Amino acid sequence: MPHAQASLPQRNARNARIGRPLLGLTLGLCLLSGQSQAATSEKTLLDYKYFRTLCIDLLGRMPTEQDLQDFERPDFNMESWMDAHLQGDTYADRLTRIYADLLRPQTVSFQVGTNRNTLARILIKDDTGKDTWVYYRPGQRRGRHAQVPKTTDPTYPQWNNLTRGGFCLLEAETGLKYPDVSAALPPTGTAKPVSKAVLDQYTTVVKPWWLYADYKSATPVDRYNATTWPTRYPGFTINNELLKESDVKTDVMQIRVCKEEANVDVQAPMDTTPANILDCRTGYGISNSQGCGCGPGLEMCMPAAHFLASQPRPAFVSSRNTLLGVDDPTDAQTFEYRAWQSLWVAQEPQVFFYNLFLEDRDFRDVVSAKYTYVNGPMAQFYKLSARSNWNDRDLGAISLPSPDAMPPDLIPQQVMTWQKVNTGVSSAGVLTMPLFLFKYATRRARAHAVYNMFLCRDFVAPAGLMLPPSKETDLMKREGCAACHQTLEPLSAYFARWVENDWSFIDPKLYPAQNPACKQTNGVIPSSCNARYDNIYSSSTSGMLRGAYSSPTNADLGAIGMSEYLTRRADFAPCVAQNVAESFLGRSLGTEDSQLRDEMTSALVESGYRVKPLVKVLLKSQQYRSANNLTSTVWRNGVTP
Amino acid sequence: MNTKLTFLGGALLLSVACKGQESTAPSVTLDQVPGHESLAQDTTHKESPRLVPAEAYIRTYLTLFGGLTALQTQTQLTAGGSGLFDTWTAYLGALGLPNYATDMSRNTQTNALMVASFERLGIALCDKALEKDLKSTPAVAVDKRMIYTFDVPATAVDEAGFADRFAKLHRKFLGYPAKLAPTDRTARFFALYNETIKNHNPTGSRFTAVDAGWAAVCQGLIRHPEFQLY
Amino acid sequence: MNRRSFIQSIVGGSAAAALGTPLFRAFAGPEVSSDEYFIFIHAQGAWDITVGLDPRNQRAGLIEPGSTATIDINPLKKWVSLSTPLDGVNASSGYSFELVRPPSGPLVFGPGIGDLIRHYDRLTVVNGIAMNTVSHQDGTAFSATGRHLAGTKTAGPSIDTMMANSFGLGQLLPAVSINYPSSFVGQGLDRRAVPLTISGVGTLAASLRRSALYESAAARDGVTALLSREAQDLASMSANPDVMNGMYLQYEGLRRMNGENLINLFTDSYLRGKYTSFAYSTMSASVNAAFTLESLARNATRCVSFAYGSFDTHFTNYRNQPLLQQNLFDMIAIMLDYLDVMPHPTKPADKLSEHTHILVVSDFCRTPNINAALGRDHYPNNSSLIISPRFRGNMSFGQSDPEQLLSLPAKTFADGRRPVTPPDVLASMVSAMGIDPRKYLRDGEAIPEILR
Repeated sequence: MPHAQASLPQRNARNARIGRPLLGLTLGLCLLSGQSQAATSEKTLLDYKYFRTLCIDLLGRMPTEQDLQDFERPDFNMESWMDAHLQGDTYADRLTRIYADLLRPQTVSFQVGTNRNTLARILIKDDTGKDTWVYYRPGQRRGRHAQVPKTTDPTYPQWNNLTRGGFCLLEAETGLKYPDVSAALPPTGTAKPVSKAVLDQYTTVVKPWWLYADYKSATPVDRYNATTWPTRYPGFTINNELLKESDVKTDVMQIRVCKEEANVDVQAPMDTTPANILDCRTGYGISNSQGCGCGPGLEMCMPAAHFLASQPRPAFVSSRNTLLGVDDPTDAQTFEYRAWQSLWVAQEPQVFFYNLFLEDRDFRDVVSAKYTYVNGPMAQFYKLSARSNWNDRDLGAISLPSPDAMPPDLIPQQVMTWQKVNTGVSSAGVLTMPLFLFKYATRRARAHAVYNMFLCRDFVAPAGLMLPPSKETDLMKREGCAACHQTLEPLSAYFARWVENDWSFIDPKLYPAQNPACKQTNGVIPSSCNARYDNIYSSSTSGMLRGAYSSPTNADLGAIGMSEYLTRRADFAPCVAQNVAESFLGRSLGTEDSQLRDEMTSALVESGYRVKPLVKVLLKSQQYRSANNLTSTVWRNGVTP
Repeated sequence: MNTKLTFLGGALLLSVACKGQESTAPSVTLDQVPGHESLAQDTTHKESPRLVPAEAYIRTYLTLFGGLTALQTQTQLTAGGSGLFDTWTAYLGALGLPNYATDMSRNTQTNALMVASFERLGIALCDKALEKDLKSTPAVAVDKRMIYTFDVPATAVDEAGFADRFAKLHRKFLGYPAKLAPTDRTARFFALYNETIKNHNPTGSRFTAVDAGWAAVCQGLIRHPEFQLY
Repeated sequence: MNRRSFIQSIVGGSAAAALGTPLFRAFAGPEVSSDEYFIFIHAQGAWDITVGLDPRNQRAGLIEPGSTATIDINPLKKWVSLSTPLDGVNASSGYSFELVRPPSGPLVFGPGIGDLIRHYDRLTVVNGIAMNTVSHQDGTAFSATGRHLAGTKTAGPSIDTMMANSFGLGQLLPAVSINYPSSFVGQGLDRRAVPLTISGVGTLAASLRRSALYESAAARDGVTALLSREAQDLASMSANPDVMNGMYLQYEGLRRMNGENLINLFTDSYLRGKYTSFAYSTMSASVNAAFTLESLARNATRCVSFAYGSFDTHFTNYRNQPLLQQNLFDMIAIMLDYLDVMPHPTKPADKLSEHTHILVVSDFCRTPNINAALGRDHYPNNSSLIISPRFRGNMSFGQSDPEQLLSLPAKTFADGRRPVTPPDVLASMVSAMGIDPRKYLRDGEAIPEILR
């Protein structure tokens, strides 16, 4: 898994994986240690198999001839070899795989596109009669919005292109009637040349981020190059949807875009109340200020390569089959931008795990860290896309990393470069990453996943449990249901502040767990509260935040509270031992393995929750090291393991 | 390793415990028990072999094929209309890899399809490597070859000549000397080698009889249960 | 426990009275028959039975029926809106559906049943199945194995493994499992019965294809034969020979697969071209269904199981829940049409449908109420559908509470009056084939009322 990061030495993933990057180190350690095993070259089959097993688990492959020759040297020291390989790329990959198998960090569908972060495009004729795409953001607030007459005005339909589709040019100017977004139909009519005055007034030209690596400069010149960019920016490949003009022959050198989108300010005045300064990284800012654009080189906006923002066309070449690492995919497909972004959203937790194991950090960071890792596309994602469907005016006390936390020099083309960044105040490691919150879409699903992954427990009803009909609505009290829900509901409440099927955070400033403004009147809460508050558990004094009824306290503690709950549980550390041991041994642990589990757990806890000592205990255990599968008769008859 | 370890029989242990005596060093060793004078006690821990993770299988495969990326390897294996290989994507599920998007979990046990996939992939590697190692122009030096890192005469080698060459392949694929193999493996593979050469029909084949013989040996090792398990 | 004592244990003092029951007749028949085929379908994600097998079209208690306000009714062939809105007054409350009833008999369905209604005379519906879980993993395992998860692990063999173990060991592919929750756990199982777990039919073709430009098929077989011997020898030396024995059997299975040239069986385009009645674009698992038909016709597989879904509709995606069911049940109806005309591969005088047994289950069902996101959440009740010549058709067994949709007691079982449970359904399937359910199932009791 290639997760180079600026804070760590840049590595050559191919050499690390396929070659023998640590050979020199290994030999050096062997020679320095002075603790070589008995200087015998008569290795047994068991010795060889143990070495092969270690190679598979620590190097990620079977031993090469060179590995075997090193192993057969009289001064070979297994302890030193093991120490040398309990670090590095392949070790971190091996451990990451354990938790990736538990988390399963991908989803079939992943929609992060909205009218506020997506650039649709319409083919018009410019003043010379040449076909020209005009890119635009349908959710953009425009200067022309102020000129739109009242709906009762007879001229109102002439503004349809703007009012119904968000386009900056009108039918009378282009000859095209567009768009009727609701019908998902292409523009109709016959395009006519748009006058230069109109083009100059409402559009401009930009060298966009997907074509220019130096898009932030005043005069970008570093255009996409199919020969050099794969080396300079491995993993970033776009196709002719973005590289060619509408004739599919001419190279795109710059694009024409509605003027507002070209604005680069981070803040801008609200159109209707200029005294209000809006943040342009919020959905609200985009919808309410013509000064809020897509930023330098349109970096906060994604190209749909289509006239409909909701139906983007595949324009990015990448792979979802990256179990060998994103630098070594097993196929190459084209992805529309939402799917392309989702690839990196899915990588985020894996990169997090990888770096945690690589640096042997405190494992509790997995559920508590206030940091994450972003590559170019993820930095871009967190600048706007991640929040573009929200209508909040400020960034709030969210769990996502702030746009301001994104490394300024990390550009979207750098898909293999991951850098550590701080996350929001409500964050808690993997628990608040978009992938986790989206994949495990409901509060209960999230609680269940966590319960299973980090406590190795599941919700299983006791044998013979009956669920008789009952009027009790509280699942924690209802006969039968209570067996599981007494535990599950309070755990679910920790996730009550993350919208289901989404990663949006419900800010307690706006939505307190118990909200007097949403109290029941005549047994019913105000309809405006229905989206966030649950009438069943509300009262005449306050409305109850949905999902918080079992524990408003837990709802306010959020994922941080869940983190504290998990890490203080006695079964948290043993679960790490169990997950690792079962993966390495290829079987479930039984009662006969309790001593091994205990020793691994102790190694973890005593080292401050560093996983490496735990793994070392396992690698030296008789279950791992001394095991053979010969019958005793065969063994006695001289087939020496 | 066979060791004669001291043994505290259940009856003796019970006897000591019942007398309430402090447990000390065993008073009777196994070889002192009548009938056990020369019986070595197997105290080794027994574990069933497990399936090599699919990622490690593929990385090993790529290493054997010269250390290329997965897609580069795919390009080479499919080159020349060989029909030896489709795409990696076609085999990923069969090899047991999980599909995180569909929540299909990792397969940790072999099955008939997986064994069929191992055959498909093993044949592709051995046949294509043979073409590259032995049939390229100009000839590839022995120490530059991927798999067949030994002299390959145009005619079949004798048993001794086979054993030397087989030993190299055995180490390469199974990670230990052939002489330690628990079965009569060298003889068995020599028979396969000879049988393949004898029955080879060169019509329509890109291989000579000797090529086919060595390819069969290679396939037998990369498809061997000891290659797939650990 | 032998067969006799098992019968005594489940019917207790009523053993004599039970001698004439279908259950006894089933047990008294041949212990093992090798002419039967099995199809197991998992409606993955938890289906909404209120628009399918256990319909509700009126507000009552917790029940909020599916309606024009919450469901996209346009593609539903069997949807006929009621004339009165749900609240009796306001059209905005939505209009629920007319119940779908066959020409005769007690069965009643929601509009999700689709074209399967035309096969009503062979449908056995079990309602009110008590799941005691709303965890997908646990419910899925419970439905397929009759056992709840033990911690996070499966505790017993899945139904496809049971049938493969009893009837498929001589088969080229005893059990093929396409994303079905198959498990191979338990005592007395032959490793040949390990379900061949795959993600899709097409993946098999690539693995079975061989180039003709290098070595011969005989040379390849020579290699496999050697490996088979190696595995056998290594197994004989093994303290636990299961894994090596498994590989030995798989090498032998591969030799047969290669010998019988099964490529077409696993080739998507071939299957689509041959079984043209399926609507492949809308029925997501139709290729699996076509594969099932072809593998049965060729006698290559004893048991095919696959997942169909996802029915997990917590949000506005619930609008398509009945359509998903319609597509599933339409697909089954088409399968039955084919099975009715396809000759049995080893009993040419018979049709395949006379010897094919289908069981459709889901994780559990969905809530009777509709949530704030206009979807339905998880609920611990369930229904299942059986289509088998050894089961009574055009009948329904078990029931759920009219206001709460919870399972109600169905009858007095050996352990008292209680609802049907998944192990009861599985035990019924197993015993219908003349096998003692206790061979595979720790719990559960066959239901004579639904057996022929």
